[in-house]
Amino acid sequence: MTRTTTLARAILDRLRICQPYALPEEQLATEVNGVVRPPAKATEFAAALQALNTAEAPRIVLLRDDFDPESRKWLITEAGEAALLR
Amino acid sequence: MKTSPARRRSSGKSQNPPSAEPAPAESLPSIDDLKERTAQAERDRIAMAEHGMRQRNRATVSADSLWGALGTETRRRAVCDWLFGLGLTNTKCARQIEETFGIRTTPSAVRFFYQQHSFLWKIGQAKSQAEIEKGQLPSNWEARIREALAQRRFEAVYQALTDKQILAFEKLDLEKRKVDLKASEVFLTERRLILLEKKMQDAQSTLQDSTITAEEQARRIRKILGQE
Repeated sequence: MTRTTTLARAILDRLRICQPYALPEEQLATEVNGVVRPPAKATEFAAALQALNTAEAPRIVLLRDDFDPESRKWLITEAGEAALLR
Repeated sequence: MKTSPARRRSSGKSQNPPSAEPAPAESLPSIDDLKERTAQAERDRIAMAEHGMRQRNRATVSADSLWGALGTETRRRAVCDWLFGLGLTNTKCARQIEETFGIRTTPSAVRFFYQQHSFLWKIGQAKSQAEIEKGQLPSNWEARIREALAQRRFEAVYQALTDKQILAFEKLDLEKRKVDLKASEVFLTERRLILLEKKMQDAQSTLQDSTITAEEQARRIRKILGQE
């Protein structure tokens, strides 16, 4: 399993556990870095999120807070759950 | 024609030579003997079962099975509280688990438990709190608002538990630093002791040196002791 795949699976796995709630990005990063060795750098993590979000069928979606534009929360989609089963 | 085993057994029995001598009467066990043997067998069986149980209880619970061995949610929560709330080290937590629940485990199993299950536990807590919050909201509120408030509650509980965890980590880090400081103090004391012993030896050899005068001896001793 490549580093990209490991990171993507860790992100999807963490978000699957949180369903139906979304997980803030910082907390997601903390939790993913708890299981991925070596911990992902910020750029690497952002790239993994971007890749999961911009695939043909997005595996995760970004939820924005109406009152806090800085807040970024991620939610797994059905495509993401299906990807975990493969 | 094939015969069944039962038939073969019965036919075998019937083919015993009638002239065979019956077993002597004294070799047959008496009723009391049989009772005694049965009782002994029962005692052995119980002893073996107890021994097996003791062995099982004594066996150390491995990393994978600590979660399962704890069994109930209350016990798991207690262990998470010890780790997050009290900030117990893995070793102390393993000892606490053994004292409280009678489950012998290892610090590495506790570490594995923590790594694998702390996230699940925190999420479980946050979800249940969010559901409770959602259930308490007036039913005539819009679903969108109810969901948003539940999400807020979920995040708040999760954050609170994470903060608790961070505090526990910091407490552990502080304890580790204390231990490190203590170790460096001990090291310095040992070094000081070695230096003093060396000075003492030098002073003794100076005093035992008969080739130099008393004034010279005093001067050298002052120099050794750093008084010059």
